[in-house]
Amino acid sequence: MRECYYPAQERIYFDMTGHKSEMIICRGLPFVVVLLTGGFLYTVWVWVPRPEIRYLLTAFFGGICLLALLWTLLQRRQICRFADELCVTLDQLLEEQKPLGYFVYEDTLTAKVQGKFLQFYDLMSEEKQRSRQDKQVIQELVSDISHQVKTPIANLQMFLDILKSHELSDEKRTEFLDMTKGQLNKLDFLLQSLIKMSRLETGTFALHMESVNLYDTIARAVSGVWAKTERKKIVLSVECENFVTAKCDPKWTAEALENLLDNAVKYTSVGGSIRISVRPWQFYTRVDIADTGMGISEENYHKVFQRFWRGEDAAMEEGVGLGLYLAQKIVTRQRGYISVKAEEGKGSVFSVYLLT
Amino acid sequence: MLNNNNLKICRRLILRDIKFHKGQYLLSGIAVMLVCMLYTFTLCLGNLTYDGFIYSYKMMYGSNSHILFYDLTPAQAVKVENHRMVRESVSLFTLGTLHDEMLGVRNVKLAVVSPGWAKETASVPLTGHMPREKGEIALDEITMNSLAIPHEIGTEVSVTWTQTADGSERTDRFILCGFWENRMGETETCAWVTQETALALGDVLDKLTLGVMLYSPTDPENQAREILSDLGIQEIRFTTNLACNEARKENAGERSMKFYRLTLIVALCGLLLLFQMEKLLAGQNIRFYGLIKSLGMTPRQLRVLSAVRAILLSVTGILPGWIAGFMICAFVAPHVMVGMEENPAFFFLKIWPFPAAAILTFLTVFFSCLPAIRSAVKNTPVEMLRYEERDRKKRRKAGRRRTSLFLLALSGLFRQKGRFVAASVSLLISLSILCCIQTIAASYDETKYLQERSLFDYRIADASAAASMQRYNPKSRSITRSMYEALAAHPAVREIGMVCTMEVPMHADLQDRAQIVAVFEETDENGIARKEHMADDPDWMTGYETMRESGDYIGIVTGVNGLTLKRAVTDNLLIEGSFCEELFATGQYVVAAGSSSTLKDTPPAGSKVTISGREFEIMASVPWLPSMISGMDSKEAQFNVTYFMPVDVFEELFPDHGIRNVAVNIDQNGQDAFEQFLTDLLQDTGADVISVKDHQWVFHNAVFHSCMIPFFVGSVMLFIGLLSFVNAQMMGILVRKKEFAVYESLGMTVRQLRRLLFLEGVLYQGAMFLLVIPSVAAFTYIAGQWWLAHTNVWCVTWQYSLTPLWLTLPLLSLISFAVSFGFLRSVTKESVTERLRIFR
Amino acid sequence: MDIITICNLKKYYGSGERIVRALDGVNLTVAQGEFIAIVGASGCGKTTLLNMMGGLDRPASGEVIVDGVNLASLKEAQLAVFRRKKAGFIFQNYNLVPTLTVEENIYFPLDLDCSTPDRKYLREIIELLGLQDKLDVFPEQLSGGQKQRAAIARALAAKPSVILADEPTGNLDSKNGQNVAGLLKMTTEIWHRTLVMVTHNQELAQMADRVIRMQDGRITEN
Repeated sequence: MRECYYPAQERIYFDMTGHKSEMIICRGLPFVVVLLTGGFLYTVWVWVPRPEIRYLLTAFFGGICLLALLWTLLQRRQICRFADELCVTLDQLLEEQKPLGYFVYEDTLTAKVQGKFLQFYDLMSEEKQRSRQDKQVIQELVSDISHQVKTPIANLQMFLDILKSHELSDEKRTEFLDMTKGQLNKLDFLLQSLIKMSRLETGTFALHMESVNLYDTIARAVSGVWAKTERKKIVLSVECENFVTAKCDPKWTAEALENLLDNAVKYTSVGGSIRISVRPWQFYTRVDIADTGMGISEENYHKVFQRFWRGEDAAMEEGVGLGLYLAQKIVTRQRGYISVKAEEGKGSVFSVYLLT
Repeated sequence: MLNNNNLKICRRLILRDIKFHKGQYLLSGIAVMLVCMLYTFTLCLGNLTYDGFIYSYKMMYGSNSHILFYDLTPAQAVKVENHRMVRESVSLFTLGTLHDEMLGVRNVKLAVVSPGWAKETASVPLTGHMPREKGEIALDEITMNSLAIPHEIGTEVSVTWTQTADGSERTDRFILCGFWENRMGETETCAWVTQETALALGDVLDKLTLGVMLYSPTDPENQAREILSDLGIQEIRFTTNLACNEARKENAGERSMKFYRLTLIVALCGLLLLFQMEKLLAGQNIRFYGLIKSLGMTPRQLRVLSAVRAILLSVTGILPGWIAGFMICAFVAPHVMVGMEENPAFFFLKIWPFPAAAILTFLTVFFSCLPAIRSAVKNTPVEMLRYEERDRKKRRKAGRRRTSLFLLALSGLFRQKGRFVAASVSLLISLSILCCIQTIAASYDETKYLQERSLFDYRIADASAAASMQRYNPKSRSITRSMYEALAAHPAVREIGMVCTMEVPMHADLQDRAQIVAVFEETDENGIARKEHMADDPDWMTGYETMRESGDYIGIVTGVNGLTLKRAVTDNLLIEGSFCEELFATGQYVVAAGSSSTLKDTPPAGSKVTISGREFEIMASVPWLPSMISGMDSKEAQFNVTYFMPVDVFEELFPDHGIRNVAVNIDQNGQDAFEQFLTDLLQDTGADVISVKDHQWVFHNAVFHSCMIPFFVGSVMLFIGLLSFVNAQMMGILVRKKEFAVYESLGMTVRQLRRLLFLEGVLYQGAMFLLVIPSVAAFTYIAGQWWLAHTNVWCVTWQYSLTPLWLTLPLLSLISFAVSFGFLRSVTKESVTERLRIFR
Repeated sequence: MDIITICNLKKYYGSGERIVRALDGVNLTVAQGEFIAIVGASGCGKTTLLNMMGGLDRPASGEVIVDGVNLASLKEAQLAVFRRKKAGFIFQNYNLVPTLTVEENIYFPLDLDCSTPDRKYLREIIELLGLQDKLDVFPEQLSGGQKQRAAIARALAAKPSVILADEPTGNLDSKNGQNVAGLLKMTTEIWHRTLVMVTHNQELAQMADRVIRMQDGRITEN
């Protein structure tokens, strides 16, 4: 049954023998017609004694021949028009303009072939557009980066100026040097994030998708935020069977999870709790990260994943609004997705769906 | 514009559909088969009727040839053969005609063996062989019976014949070398001899008879004249085939037309049937069409899809339909064409009814699919996908006071009134037809028929009058006086009588003539002169014209006694005059017999007639009873007046006569013994017996024949009605799937649901019966009475019968309950929540 | 680039007093490659709107322009071609052709057009949706989730411009629903298809790039 879908495969090259036989038929057809007509007339004249009937039969035969001729001519005309229409479409495509006057939704052969041409054209133009879009994205990124980097650099410059120009006590100096170091760390973090982002955005990094033990990945992510939870006295519990696996890049996935956890820790007040639970499904493995933080209002559900978006009441928290964005980018690139469900004031649940 | 070559998918869809819904397709296939069967049946029967009639005319004429030219010279014959209108011809050298009174209207020619002619006229010896040697002769059985020749090869035969050449009469002796059975009573046939014999008999073989087949025998009479005048041949006698006679053709056409007209009704029935079938599957089909349409099937593809479906359905239904139709035809045919050895269905089998039936079936299937496909093309996919929901929406108002099951049932019924009416109407029509047929069939009165037709328990016919197309020969002696006396002496015999006839040329005076002519020139209620009804009988017309012009006509003098006298005169209806048995016995009087009980086409009572020189007075006139006597009278006597007289007087007038018929009434107790006695008595005489049983058979046959077709139509209509009834029931439940689920979720048990359905069923049927019974009864009464008033069948007495109604109604209730509960079961199998979720 | 433009679209059912305004002046544009979720209470006209976009229903007035063509100007036959080439439908009750195998169902829109399938592309879809073992099976032997996955594959098969999903998870439990919705989002994203999904499930709706809320035949929030 399945083979019957691909008969065109064998017919991609012209079947020369078929072609030849068609030629022979084409050449031979007039002879056959003449022979048949002759035979018919002979038979009629020999076997039909009454002249009226004879003429009637001849006229009938002639009529049939005429109809056949007419039909053939009509067919030929149609084929010619078919070819002409295709040529016009091709010409327009060659001139790099979208073909006009083409019958998009006719159930005809012309429309079918034209549709294929157009598909090809769209594919080509899409490629072009894609590279243009990439360029634009990079441009945006560069402006974003320069914007974000501006503050720490300005700070650094200021600190360095102070250190350089003012006589300061050792205490003060160490304080400023610490502050400089802090700014440098921030700059480093920012740059790291931006590099990741740019890579994700332009798709210039390789994901090594493999079946990995999710437990290990989560453990790696948790270790990244462990210190912070300790500091905020947040109870972090993990519910995960040992054998659960998911198809993903362990490094990047850990990164994404870490971002989410980081976010959760950030918005959970002291003494709250974070629960990570894993549920393996048929297609996706769902990783829920539930916190007892401030939650998100419903209309902001899908804004949280936007670049540099920060909640209005989250101004005092540090961060640049890239964590969730990055997490979503990473998960989506791995053909998974993230959804959010929250109750304002009570906490929110981020669900990461990874391909099983 | 070159269309996209995307029709392959249609084929796959249909094939799969068939694979998945075998039951449905089988059902539809059976419906198509039924339709095809009916078409095949009616067309075959129509064809058979026409061909049968034409065949019997040909048989009467004795040849297939359209024109027979007599006494042509061989040179002339060649000319005629080559004429442009002549398709083919067979020739025959005739020496002369067998000359024997006994042969009657039959024209037997002594001829030189001509295989072509023999084939054309079905006169090839089946026993023995064609003459090969000098002095041999081959004959047909009727001729042999008429001439009283034993059926034995090698018998010496003495034949008297008239020589064509000089008109002289001579008698020769031949050896019988072969004979054949007559298919029907051909009136013209040949006696074959070899050429040597012919030459020995002194014939020079210069005159021949040419049978000619024309290309288009539209008007053979004139065509024959045209041929002769074209060739410049004059004074040539010719006859034309009766089968080409316009009036006869019309008659045959009219009879077959009856069947062809039925095809129209069949078409209507078929359409209705298939339409019902289609409707049964409508919900599923429409959703399917909606689905594939929503996925992008174009109207063109949809049309092809349904066309392929129609073709496949037709193809599956047509072959079994042909077979079934032909089988029914073969079963019915012997009742329609009586008196043939072979089954007429096979004998007259032709190809054309089959393709015609196939085409008609296909058209019917196609047209029945048309509304569905048109709606599929026209509606948007959304409407089609929500087909059932739409049906549900229609009835949303009712259901306020849900107090009791009864009220619930009532409201349920009320909401289905559309379906109810539709189902009732087809049932109404079919039951009306069936009851009418039943009433008509019951109204055919057997006793009345037998009283009229079978005047006697047994009627024994002389061998020369045994076949209906055979002319009675008064010289025949197959029933002798001694046999008559033996019969009369048999203890079982209650009454006995005989019939003797003699054709006598007579003359009517002006007054008598005027009376008779007036009757035939008069127009009847249809506005046609009565004589026109006889136009298909040229002999009658000739006889009538002769009588009208000169007053000469043939009187059939009939001697009757005992039982025959009683039946013919005493018990008979008197049209005119009065009858006195004693006066009749004196021999001074005769009783005239006219053609019917209302017309006075005899010389009036009281007038005098001269028979064989003796003068009689007409005492009374009575209608002539066709079943009194058997056989035929001569061609000249087709127009005649019969005169009854006592057998004694008849014997005085014609001392040398045979007995044509003997009529016997017996005691029922001695029947077996008498029949045995009769067979023994009549052995080897060729005499024929017709008993009451034969008449009963004919009667039943006729009733069957006249009621069969409407009965078929009525049955099919009933089937359609039942289908639509089941359909209505089914839809009623399926559509309310959700409603039932709601009831169930509100705490109604399945038992209560069943009670609800039962109540609904009772109400539904009650309403239907209330509608159907009175209307069918009234319609049957009115239609029956109308038929009674307008029928030309004479043996009827009004007999009102509604048997089909009483038989169908219980069946209907049974089906109704079975369907409701069956479907309720399948519906409640799904869980309540599942059903509640169906329509959002 | 806008793939769908809807201008002042109206559709009424019934007449007189019992008129139902399924759509009452809807304006909407959908960009190429966008994922739009339409949410709203049942009976607010969201399914009708979707049907209009797919040419399954004809509007009373207003314009539906898909890929540069006004659907109202198309004849029935052209509309059919539009449906099989430009619109991929995913229904709540799956609407697989019951008499065709899963594979034939997936190929159905292509077979309707009799065009040669892009085998690589289709194999990829089938594998992604985990249907490779079920290809020769008839729909009735599948579970709800499998059926809907087959329906997604079918919707994608002809590489349509827009995928229109009408409550694709409506008949599925939440687990299967999440599975199916995720696959739907993923597949459309991989091949840059435009997806318009009708749902009343907020959780699913947030997966979309843009959420449209409807009430009584009007768009209340864009």
